[in-house]
Amino acid sequence: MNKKFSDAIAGYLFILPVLLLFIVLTLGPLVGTLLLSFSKFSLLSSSRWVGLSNFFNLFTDARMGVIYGNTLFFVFILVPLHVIVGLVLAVSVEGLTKGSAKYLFRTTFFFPVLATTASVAIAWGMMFDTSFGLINWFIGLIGAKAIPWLNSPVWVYVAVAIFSLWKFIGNSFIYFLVGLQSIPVELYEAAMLDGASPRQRFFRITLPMLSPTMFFVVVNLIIGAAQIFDEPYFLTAGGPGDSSRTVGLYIYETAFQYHNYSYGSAVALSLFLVILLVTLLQFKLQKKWVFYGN
Amino acid sequence: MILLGFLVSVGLAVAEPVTLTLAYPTGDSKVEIMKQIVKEFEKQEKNQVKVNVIVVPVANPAAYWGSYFDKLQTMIAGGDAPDVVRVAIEGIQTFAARDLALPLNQYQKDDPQAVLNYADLAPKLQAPFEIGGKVYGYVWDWNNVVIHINTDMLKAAGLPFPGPNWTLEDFTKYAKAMTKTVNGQQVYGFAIPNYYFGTEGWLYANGAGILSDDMKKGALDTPEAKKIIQLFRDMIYVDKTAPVPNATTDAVNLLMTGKVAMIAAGRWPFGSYVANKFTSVGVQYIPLMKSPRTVVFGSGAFPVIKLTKHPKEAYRLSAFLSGAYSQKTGISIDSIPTRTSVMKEVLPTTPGKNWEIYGESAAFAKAVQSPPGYPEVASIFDRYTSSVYSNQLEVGAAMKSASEEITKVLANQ
Repeated sequence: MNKKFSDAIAGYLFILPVLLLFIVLTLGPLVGTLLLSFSKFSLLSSSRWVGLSNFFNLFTDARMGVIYGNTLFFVFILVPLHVIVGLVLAVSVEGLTKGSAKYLFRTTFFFPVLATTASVAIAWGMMFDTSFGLINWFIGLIGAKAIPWLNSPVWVYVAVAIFSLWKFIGNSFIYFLVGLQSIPVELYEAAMLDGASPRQRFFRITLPMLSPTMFFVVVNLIIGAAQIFDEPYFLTAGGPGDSSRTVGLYIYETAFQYHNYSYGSAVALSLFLVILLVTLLQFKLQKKWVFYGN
Repeated sequence: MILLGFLVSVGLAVAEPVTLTLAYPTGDSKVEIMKQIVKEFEKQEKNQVKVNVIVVPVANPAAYWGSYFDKLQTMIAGGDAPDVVRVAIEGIQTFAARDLALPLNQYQKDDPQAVLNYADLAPKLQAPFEIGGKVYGYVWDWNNVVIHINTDMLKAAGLPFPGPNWTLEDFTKYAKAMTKTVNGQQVYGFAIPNYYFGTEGWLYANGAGILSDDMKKGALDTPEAKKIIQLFRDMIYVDKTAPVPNATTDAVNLLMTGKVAMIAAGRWPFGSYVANKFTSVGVQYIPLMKSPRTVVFGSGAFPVIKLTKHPKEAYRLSAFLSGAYSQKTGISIDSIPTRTSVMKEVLPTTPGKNWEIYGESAAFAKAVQSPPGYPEVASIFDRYTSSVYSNQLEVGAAMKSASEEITKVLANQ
């Protein structure tokens, strides 16, 4: 056995655990989903191959347009919201001079991420209640009319966005904070010596230097928002009607409540392909705006 | 050694105890009590039958039985089928339709003593577990839908406790009288039952149903059904005697905190009432709209899975679990025993006025419509009624669409 060959074997042995995990936890379910989507599967009786039938159903499903539309709308609302608010919070916290204040705010903003969505959603559901909610009580104090947060096809987006922002803003905040901390201080010192204003420093140094982080955050946010499940599941159950039903929620209902695993898999596969295409497009476009310092 | 060898060879050796598994959904507070009950069964079997209670985790309270059945089906498909399972009325049709449950007729014939005093089980409540002449279980507990009234709010409004034959006009009058502003906070007369079981109680009272009698078609578009949904919608937007319900509305909590005066529920809120020391409550039938009175019910039993290797022992466990000891021990405050004798003993402990109607209604109760495909039917119902109660759809159009969708789903089962 020559050295090159034994080195290759050693290399493969080193990556074997990760490879096995990838096959079992990622590739396996993906292949399983693919096979399920081309079959009529039942846990308790024999399954059969149905070709493209599930995909045909997907394109003729009268609810699919609304459900994909809702999901797309959530992507358009949530991604900019999380990017802007996360960045503002990160820049504000990074700008604090006192270490203890920095620590306090960092913990505070990240804390909701650690809370169980189910439990905090109950509290938010009560706060959003049209008739008895705390938020409408405050609104009532200024003489305004109660807002049907969870009972209107328009306001339900706002309610979900507020809840999502409170619950998950810690993620983008912490990424931006880490990104900010990795920008060399010398760049700011040189800019200040040249008389650059804070605004110029932010747009000429911070943003370009933060662009790799921004790219990572945007890619993750788009994937997460396209798969949005927790917020409508716990807060609105997809309602009223189908107003806040997302593709993720629909997949869950179809597969695990109605036991139609095959159609659920076909819908899941369609979402996977959409996300894949959007992500590939982002990787192509990032060459035009992401600055890697080289 | 020689003697032991001899005994084994002639089959006289002491047999290994049979081990049964009993599947029970988590989230149900009775899991620990079930373990206590099966210990008594083991004692009765002289420890020749052991029972492992398997707690099946159910994460989704909104789709409780659907999630539970999903897990059970996975266990069965994975070759790890339990012997006896806790099943509510929503699931027995599916179990029978998929040939998963063992008919117990022959076992009952061979060993009738196992089901102590079969006639003591209220016949109407037992009926859903007897499909096509086959007995699939012995009913253990049940619940219905009646009106819970906050008696303090009733008193404050100067109204007497309503009689059993109160009409829809009386009900709306009560709702209006108890809707007011108290200390700057709006309180309402009634919380709409925006869930399948609760609405079906009202539909039955008006001679309607969510499905047709043969459960082959949706029936929400009948004039009787639409009248009820219109009533609820008008209570929210015309009379303004009911708050807008949503997916997270907790009607029991609203009643206890005096934010609504009446809710529609079974006996299950009494668990919360007792825990919160709330005693200002009384129950009355849903207003009488059609005679004779019909009250909806849901019940639960312990069917035997067909794949069991120990059908006789599993049958005896299933029967024991419907017995008086099991009902007295396991059913205290949040559901109703199904044995007439146990009802008489347990129901007087209900801490609320007019509790007698829980027992009475067993005589004219009608099973909630739960066909195979129930989770999808219930989901369609939720989707359209939530649109109506949010003032997004008009009742007639919504109920027509809901019925059509339900009919399609039922045709595919």
